[in-house]
Amino acid sequence: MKGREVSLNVNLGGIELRNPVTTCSGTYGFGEEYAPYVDPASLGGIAVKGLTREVRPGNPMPRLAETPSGMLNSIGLQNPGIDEFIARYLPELRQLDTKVLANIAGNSVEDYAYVTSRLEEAGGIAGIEVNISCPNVKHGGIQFGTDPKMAAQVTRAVRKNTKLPVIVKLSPNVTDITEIARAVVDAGADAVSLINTLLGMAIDIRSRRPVLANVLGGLSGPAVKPVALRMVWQVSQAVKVPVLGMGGILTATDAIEFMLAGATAVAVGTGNFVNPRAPLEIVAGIEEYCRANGVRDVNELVGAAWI
Amino acid sequence: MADLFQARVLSNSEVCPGIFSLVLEEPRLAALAQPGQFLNIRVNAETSPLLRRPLSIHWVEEGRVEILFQAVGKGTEILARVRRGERLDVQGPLGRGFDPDPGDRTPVLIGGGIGIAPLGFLAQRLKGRKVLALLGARNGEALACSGGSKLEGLGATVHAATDDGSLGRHGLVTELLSEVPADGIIYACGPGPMLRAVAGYALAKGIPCQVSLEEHMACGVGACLGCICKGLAVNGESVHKRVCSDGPVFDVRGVDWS
Repeated sequence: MKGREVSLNVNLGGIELRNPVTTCSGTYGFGEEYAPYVDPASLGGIAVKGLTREVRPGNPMPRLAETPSGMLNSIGLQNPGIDEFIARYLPELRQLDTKVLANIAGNSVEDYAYVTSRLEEAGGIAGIEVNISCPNVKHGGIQFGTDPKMAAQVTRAVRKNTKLPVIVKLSPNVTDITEIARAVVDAGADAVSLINTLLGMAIDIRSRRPVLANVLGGLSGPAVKPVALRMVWQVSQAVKVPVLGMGGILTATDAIEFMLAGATAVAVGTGNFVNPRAPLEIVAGIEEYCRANGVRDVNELVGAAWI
Repeated sequence: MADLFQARVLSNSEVCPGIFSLVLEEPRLAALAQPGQFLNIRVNAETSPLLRRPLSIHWVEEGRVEILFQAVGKGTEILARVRRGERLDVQGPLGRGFDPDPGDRTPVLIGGGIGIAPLGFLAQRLKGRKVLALLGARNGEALACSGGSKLEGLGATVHAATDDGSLGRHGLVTELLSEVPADGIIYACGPGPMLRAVAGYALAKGIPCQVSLEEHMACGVGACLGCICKGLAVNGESVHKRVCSDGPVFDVRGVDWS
């Protein structure tokens, strides 16, 4: 880094990120899939695919539907389970020069606690992102993410089983997201990430049936950005912990909007599919924006749009 | 290894009604490509359509990569309007292609419709071998321009089946399966029902067979798990496989056809 006058470091609830750009769980596999396009060392961090106690085969096909400026998915938390993750994927992830966030989901509070203690024991990750917001499975999160008491209970269970920073990922499919955010922060969350996907659906007029086998799916991509931005704006002013903002981020402009709305860091999800190098371009674009606007420390942007 | 390219469009033309040939000049991509692999192409710089379009490689020659595609939806219709001299955002080559070494066996290429296209590149790599091609399409013209004439040009023996009877047998390509020699090795690409029939035949006769599957994709690199097929692990256990990265070409024994 020659002549860098802009500091890009941010602290996400105790996780020191070299820059505020990360990738969203569920869009980045276990890190290796994007190796040809992005050096993880150039990113603040990456979040791996949601992990559960048991192996999950996921939902039947079709799992995808493209929508205007967006897409629906109903993957259904397909993952190899925590044992296989620790044995097969974690050793390689430990070698990466970036912060690895392990995203976890479960059927019960006990499942969350179990997966957390396994990760704590295994070591090598920077933080735990607690998925209480997956819209695509009956058990896997969203029943915890739409009720403040349940959300707090899961957060406490995770908190009790780890010294690692705990980030709770919030669902936008609620009446008042700030209520859930306050509940998880009171229960010990070090940061919150938002938004997970918005519940939606698509119908095929030829077959007169839903496109997705699971009927409902999660909407992501640029189409959801204004909603995500609004929620980041609300949550970041309602709680004292940092916000990891996500939802339709494709460009540095998008990312800067999220930071100005109150996000300490951002995550790129569906944007990776459109432009595998989007995270790198966003890091460069944020730095350039700071330089052009006399911003020496990227943290100056966080919440700068608040009125 | 795959990469991103701003590939120069050398030509893009409708070779027969609804079927387009897109030729990209990109020597490094051409050098990396293997038969059966695909490119993930961003058709415009807008966010609609949002996702890239996965299209298999039809022909590779002198630093050029040719794609054949049908304009069937918003993405491919936009792609059909791309003009010579423009640059296209191309990701690839992606996926696991055909194992192009047939050993002592006689390569039998079986293609249906636009699924004939990737067999062209495979046939290039099989040059010098005696190749049998069983091809099906809606009519003779579509069969020829989907890769049929190129396969003939390479010296393959082509047996055709068409929906309208304008070329070869009046019927489906799967009605030609009895022509596969016992010492054959099948490489197939086409619609799902065709592949299912080919796989059933190959498994029943004990003929080695690789099929190229098709599925809607989001990431194209194995990260999102959106394009799953039912597969069989080596121990016979049912598993989910990723069409984009575990395939798109699979040994028929690794797919759960039940």
